[in-house]
Amino acid sequence: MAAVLDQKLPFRRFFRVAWYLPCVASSVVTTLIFMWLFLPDGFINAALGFIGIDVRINCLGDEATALPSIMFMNIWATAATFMLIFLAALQDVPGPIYEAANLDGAGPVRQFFRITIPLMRPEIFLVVLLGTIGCFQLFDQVKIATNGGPNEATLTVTYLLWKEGFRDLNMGYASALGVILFIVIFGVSLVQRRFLDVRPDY
Amino acid sequence: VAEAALVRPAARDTTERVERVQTTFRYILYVVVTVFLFTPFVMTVLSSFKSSAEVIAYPPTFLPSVWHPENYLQVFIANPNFLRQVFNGFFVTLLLVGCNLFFCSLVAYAFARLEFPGRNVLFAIMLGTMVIPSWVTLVPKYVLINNLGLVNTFGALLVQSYVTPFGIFLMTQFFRSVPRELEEAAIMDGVGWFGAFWKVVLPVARPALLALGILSFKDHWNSYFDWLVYMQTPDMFNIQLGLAAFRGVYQNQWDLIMAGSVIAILPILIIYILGQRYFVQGVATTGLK
Repeated sequence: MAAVLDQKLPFRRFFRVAWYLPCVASSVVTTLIFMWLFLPDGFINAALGFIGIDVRINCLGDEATALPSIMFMNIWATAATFMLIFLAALQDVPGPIYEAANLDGAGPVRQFFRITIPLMRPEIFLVVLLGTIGCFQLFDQVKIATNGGPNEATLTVTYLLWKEGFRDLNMGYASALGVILFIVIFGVSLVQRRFLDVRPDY
Repeated sequence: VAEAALVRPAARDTTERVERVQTTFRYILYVVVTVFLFTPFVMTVLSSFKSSAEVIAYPPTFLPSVWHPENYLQVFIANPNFLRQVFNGFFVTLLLVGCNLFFCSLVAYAFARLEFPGRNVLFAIMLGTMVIPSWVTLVPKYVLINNLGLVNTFGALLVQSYVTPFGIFLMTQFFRSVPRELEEAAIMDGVGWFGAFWKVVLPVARPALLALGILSFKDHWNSYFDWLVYMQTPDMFNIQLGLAAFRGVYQNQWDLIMAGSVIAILPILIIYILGQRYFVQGVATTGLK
């Protein structure tokens, strides 16, 4: 996505504003919008019906589809932020490298995989890391859209923590959950660091 | 940006054709991504003008058959606390943005300029707190604020967010890039450290302050979780929590929920469009949203 935004095209300003909107809109608003789109009578089902799949799923009310729906919301809401990071990285990739690649006869697709991706490794690592940390702490969407249900299908650690601590006033249990969450996130970040955080060599 | 012009196949007979294919491909990508990211907002704005029956009708309509601008008035009537909640949101957000700008740059200035024992250790500890998920400290923080008697007051939000490690980090990075000569002259004139900070450094720091201000406005205006935890009565909610609570009570008033959502997006959208450059810079330099 970022690769596209970087290019000079008419209406670039409009596109930038339109594309970053999910990133500046609050989690409450985006969740409410998607709850409405996900209604059994909503747009998503209508779109599915339009292409011939007339299922009328109750996306957020069905155990099988609730979690994927929440995941979709989250992908949609974070895509713009991560794109921003990639965009900044793209502008740092030195132009002469592409020039040299052109002379060597490498096509655009090959340039993208052989030059752009390797040079952006640090940013890719950052996005993967931030994405993982963010997903472990998923709360707002769950609280607003499903309250952890149906039948605990969308229960996240953070929702359990909030429920135990602030609804059932089981604060000791909630603190323990918080510490465990921290350890897990920390561990996962360390592992990711080992596999992904390799400096690019020019 | 210049590389866009460079990324082209070498001059061959097929160049023109390749270029045409590329341009078409780019436009298709643009349209697909725009539809994916932007349509939900277009739908929201359009639905906020529909009647409560039409907004959940199947098959859904695209444009409202009859426009109902009175939804925007109705949302304040159906939820009597809504006006108060919008005001709460603005009041606390502006207060916190002001506090963030002042205190973060003050602390950052000390980290960037003053020599004192343990400075680097303190800076490292301060940065370290950014790595700890807020969930870990949630319960102890709540107990503390509860014992201070601040639950269900704006004080609960002020004491925990008036200065943020992120803001200190951003401002420190900026102050370090400002040449020392600027203030040295002022200090020689006898205005002292604070005078130099206030009269010389802060005016230079305008771009950084704008970036921090916009990011912090976004965070505080969009804040949902802190309000959920610390606020108990509807007259103390902000617009985000108010909207979520409204939908909990009026399950099917989607026309009003959509109108409320548009009201909740508008301020941040306006600020974002006005300060787009600074916002992008802020995210880009720190890698955080």
